[in-house]
Amino acid sequence: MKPLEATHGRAEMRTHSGKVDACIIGCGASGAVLAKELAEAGWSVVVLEAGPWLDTDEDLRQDEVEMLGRFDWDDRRWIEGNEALPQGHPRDGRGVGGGTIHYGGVALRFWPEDFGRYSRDGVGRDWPIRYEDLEPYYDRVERELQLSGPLSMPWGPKRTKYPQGPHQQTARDHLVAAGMDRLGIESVNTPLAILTGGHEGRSPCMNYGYCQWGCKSRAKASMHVTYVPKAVRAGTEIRDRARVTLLETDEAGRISGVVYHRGGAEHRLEASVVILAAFCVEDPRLLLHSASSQYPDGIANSSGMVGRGIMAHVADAFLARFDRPVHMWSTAPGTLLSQHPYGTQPGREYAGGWSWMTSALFPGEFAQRLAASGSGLWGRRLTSLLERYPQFTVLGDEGECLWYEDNRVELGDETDEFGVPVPRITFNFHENEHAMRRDIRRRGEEILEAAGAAEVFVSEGNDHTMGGCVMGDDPATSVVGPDLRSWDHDNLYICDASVFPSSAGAQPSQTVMALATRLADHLRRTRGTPG
Amino acid sequence: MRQPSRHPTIDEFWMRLRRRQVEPDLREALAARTHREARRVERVGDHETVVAVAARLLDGSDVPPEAIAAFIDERYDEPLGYGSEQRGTLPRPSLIPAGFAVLDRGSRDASGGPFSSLAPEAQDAVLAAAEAGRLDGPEGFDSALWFKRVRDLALLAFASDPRGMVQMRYPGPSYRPGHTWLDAQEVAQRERRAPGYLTL
Repeated sequence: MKPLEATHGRAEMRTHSGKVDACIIGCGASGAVLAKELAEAGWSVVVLEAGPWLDTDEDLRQDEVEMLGRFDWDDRRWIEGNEALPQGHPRDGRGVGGGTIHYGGVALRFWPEDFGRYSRDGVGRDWPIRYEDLEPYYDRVERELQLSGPLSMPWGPKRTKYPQGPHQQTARDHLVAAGMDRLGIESVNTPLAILTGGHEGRSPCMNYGYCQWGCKSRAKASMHVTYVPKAVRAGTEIRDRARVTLLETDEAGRISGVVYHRGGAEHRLEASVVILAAFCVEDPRLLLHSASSQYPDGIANSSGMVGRGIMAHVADAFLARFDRPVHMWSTAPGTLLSQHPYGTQPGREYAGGWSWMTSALFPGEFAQRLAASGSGLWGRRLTSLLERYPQFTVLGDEGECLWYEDNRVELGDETDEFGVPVPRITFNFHENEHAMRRDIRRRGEEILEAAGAAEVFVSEGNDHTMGGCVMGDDPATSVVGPDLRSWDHDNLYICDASVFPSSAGAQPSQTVMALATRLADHLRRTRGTPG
Repeated sequence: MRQPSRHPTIDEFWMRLRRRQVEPDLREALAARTHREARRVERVGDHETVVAVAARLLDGSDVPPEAIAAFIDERYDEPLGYGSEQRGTLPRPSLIPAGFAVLDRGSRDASGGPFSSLAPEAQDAVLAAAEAGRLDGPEGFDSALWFKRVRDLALLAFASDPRGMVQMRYPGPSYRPGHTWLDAQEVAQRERRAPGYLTL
């Protein structure tokens, strides 16, 4: 059976002219889902994607240095604050498929408590929706992607069975799991958006291990091999290398036009509904840049909240060396999971928690993370450690970062080639995250010591940008409402991780996709087929 | 402590790539990287200075410092996937050449010769000062950031060169047309080397 995109790709794509029912800006974890769901409901849909439409066979290469920047948003962005928030690889995707081209495929749901952080702990923010509102959409996304996962999850809300069986654990997982077990920490095979059996022309995982640089076998459920071909089949037009630079409004406050650059020319698209799904930096950047005399503070910004509340997981990497080879590069990166420390727990001095998972780094990134783990790691000491690369594995963590108003995206003075101001991002971890990081450090070292690691290097870092266009139930303090519609513009929706009011201690992709599926249902229900 | 497996040779590396039928154009691209040292540094700074820095940063590397220096010279002003710049500092296209100039100027002021003329221990002392952020330079120059950026480039050069991959005992890429991963013999070898690796 041929992969879906072989018969529903660019060559077979329908094109649209004139006003369309929906214009979706961004073709990642949210935009691709919305495109499929709305087009299948009969909407005329155009997706504007800033990056290229890569071909799995032709363009994905197992070559770190040459893949850098191929599907990363690596334009200049200025950053400041006590926690460097790196932009680009691997968190900001640019291309058809967005960040899912490089995500590791770890597919976790948020927990019910994540939706009520403020109510529960008096810090951060609450979501205006509950876990129960998203649960059926998590189910749908998991079936669509054919997640692989354990027979049961010992933590979190009750859930349905995973569609496919788990991935095999490898040498690194056995060692780390044994360490956890000695400390009474339960672990399981990680739920992954990576097939263990074939599905719709996609291959089962071939253990290339190269998931985070673009999966060649199509086992990983990147949007460009799952939702995108189905969106195209249903009549969606995807315009790649289309860089949106402005949202125009009419006197009634509706979004009347989307201005974009493509092929060296400026274009304008009209749509009944405009959905912004361009991620946490580009969403606020576009909204702020689209300021006019009618909206001097930017589009959708009557609350002043656009750009505020950027979050990123505490994600320190424990690079552990064992006295035997474990070949961490040999399979999908995150095959062992523990959510033992997830969520707020008694006896800890901070709110929220984190997930553990094994991970893998390829030689270039590994060398850089290792060198960054302490001072003096260069010269002969570094090269002798690099020679022991096969003995290393990575224990990773995704720790909750609370929502803070002062972590924000603003417009800088400099402009890019399209005349759009370069974003300026201020990001600080506060005491809650610092306390969590200290605990993560202590417990990670305990696990790896119990696992028998000979040496452990800790490379501090963060992961998964979220926030910037917060959802809420009060127009005075949020950018969009529970239905993801802008409080200020009747036909503007924002749907991606930028709307998250909390970050949880887990990867955001499944929640983004569930939100997008829910929004598509909402639009179909409330607007029918607008054309 | 158990020693890592025997250091493979570059010939074995190529043989394994052929056996895995890794995409021919990728094999060619990798092979070309083993000749990077033929190119002289032209843009980022003085050739001898950049080579000397590469030699100290990756002392003991099987990839010649000239090859690492050539990569730095070729790619230093590209974002390479990471576009963020620290506010208040020089962006990398300006920062990296500025740092090499700072090293040379400092060496000439202190010893009358360029950085490359210093003894390795003295070079290491200068680089340690750079890593600690103690070298002064033009407005917006942060020597710790410069050190990190240059080290990251050097490591990318090293790890993308087949000689570096061999030194790291990394078997190289696996993609091939048809996407079949490992043959049965290699699976068996891996299972022996890393019990628990399981069937693939």
